[in-house]
Amino acid sequence: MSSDKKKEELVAYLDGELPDEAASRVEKSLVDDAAVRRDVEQLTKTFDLLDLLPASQASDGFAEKTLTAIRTQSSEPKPESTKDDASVEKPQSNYSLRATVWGIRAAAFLGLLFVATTAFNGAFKQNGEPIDELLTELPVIQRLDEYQEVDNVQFLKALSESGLFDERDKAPQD
Amino acid sequence: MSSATHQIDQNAWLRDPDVQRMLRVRDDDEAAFGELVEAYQNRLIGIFTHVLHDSAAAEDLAQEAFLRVYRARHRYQPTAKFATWLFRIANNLATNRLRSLSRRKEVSMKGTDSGPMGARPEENLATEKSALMPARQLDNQEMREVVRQSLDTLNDRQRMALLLNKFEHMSYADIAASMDLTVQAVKSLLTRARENLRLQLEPYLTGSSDRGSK
Repeated sequence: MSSDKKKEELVAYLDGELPDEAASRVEKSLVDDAAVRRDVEQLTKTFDLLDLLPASQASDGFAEKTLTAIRTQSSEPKPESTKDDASVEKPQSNYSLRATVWGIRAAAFLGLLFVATTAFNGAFKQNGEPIDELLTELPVIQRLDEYQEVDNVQFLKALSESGLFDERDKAPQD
Repeated sequence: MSSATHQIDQNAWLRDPDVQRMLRVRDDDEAAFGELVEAYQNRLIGIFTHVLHDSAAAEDLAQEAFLRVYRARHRYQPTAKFATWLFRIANNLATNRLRSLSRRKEVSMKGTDSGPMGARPEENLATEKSALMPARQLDNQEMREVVRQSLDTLNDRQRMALLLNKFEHMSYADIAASMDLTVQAVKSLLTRARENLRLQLEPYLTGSSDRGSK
């Protein structure tokens, strides 16, 4: 048996955590081996020295303050993020904290990018039509009121065939 | 293990009077919660004080532990002794607090080689002073300081396991459940803790035999 294993057995023996068979083995070595007896004595004495540490006492009113805290908490609306079961809470590692922070930053950046893209599209499109189409149809838009008054496509076609709009098409060349 | 034995083992927790109290707390019995606070306040504060060396911070953390117990009351299932469950919460809180303190120290003490649980400068002086003294018999106050410093040389897990073992008289199985470790890991942890403590305190053992035991 390795030295570490022997030490584990000794400590477990002192703590009453050894099965009977192993405990008998330790007891035999205590009878036979002075070094083991010395180890046990020193381990016991150093463990007993912990009794010198001061015992702590709760300050006056600690229990009452705690009960007041739970009453206050019970009367407040419970936040959604409250984690009730502390027994399953695990401490976050530095790595996971950093990953969380970077995740939040990345999400914020993507969110900003989305908002900017949406705003750009909103500024240069109307009802989903590209701006180029609006420019192409600008002459129609400018005369939309007149066209609406005509209210008859057949009549409009007849006017077009009569050459009435040719004047407009020629205008830029004048 | 037969199902009958398993059933008996499961019901064993129900005989724990504090489990009974907690079951009353689950049914919103505030008086039962008050009884648990009274029963465990000094024990929790004691463990936190040994870990943090700050009685005010220890009280804050103890209160937080009780609040967490209360918040979790409706989902409480008795699967272990109440103390094991409570000290599991306490261990998580202490671990988080120590980690947070160590991050703060890393920021404020950058450039020094003292670790997160390293001794404070005044403690180093005390250690040096005490190191000269084993030859003579220290008085109880001095010896208490030496023991406290020796405890501080243990890492966080060794210290917590040792405190639960020493002051809560917890079995290895209960310590394992409280610290989320295997029983074998607790066995190794406690052996290293006891061995480290022996190395630290061995020079002071002469004449201490009538001091430590209650």
